[in-house]
Amino acid sequence: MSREEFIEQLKRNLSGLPESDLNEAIDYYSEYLSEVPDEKLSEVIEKLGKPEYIANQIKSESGYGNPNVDNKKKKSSNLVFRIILVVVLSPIWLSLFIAYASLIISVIVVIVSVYLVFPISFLCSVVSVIGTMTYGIYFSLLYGGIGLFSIGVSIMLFKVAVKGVKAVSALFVKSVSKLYRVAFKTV
Amino acid sequence: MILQINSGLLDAVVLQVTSKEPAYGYKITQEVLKTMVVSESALYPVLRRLEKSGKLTSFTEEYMGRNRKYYEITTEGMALLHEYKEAWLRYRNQIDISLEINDRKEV
Repeated sequence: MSREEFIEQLKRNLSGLPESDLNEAIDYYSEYLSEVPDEKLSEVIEKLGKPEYIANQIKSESGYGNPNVDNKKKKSSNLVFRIILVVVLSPIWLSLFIAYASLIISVIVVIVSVYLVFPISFLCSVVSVIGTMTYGIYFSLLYGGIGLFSIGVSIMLFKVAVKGVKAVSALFVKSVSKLYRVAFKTV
Repeated sequence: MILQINSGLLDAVVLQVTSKEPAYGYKITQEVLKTMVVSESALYPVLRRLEKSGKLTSFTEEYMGRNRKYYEITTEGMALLHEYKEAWLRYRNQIDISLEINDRKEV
């Protein structure tokens, strides 16, 4: 890189600074490089570092593009952007939210009902057997049989329900984490 | 370098260099680089800051058809340099005691 190239790149990277600051820096480095003997030039330019790096250093010292201030600014503008995004996209995430909420409720209902199905079907069977006694033994036996049948079905369905709940909740966690990542990490 | 040079010390060295005679950026940098491990580009922000805060003034002189900006220490700069030197002595003593360095020649 020649002196002129270095200065040119520095100038480009310093754009945005007030003209007086920019000129001061350009003057300093032009003078600096003209002091360097030709045979040492490439070494000095390498030691000085990239023009971008020097420009950042100067900007942060001038209070423009200070790394900390800049980050804060970026963060707050990012926040505003996110809030706008959240409002604009509310038709999407609101319906998603409702869908997820109803999914949670349905999973809870399934879990509760799976555990309640035994005692309730047993209780119903006993009550129906006793309740139908006055109609005759055949009725009682019929209802008792129906009760036993439904208990049997519920035992069969228990495993299926447990598997289903497991699968649904795993899928749920996966999709929520993916949505979270998409919503907050990439913006 | 395990020990980092903080910007205060760099300021002090720059003030010391300019306290002897006015000097231009490249010269000051070469002087500082003789004793300290800093990047070549570290001096511009220091010189600028010291000039802005009135510790250095500058004047331009022509040299072989181009301009050289000389930095000269002010009385305020001299006072600050004095302060830095005293602070350094105190600091050095404290560290010597902490590290139990009794005879500096041994090191």
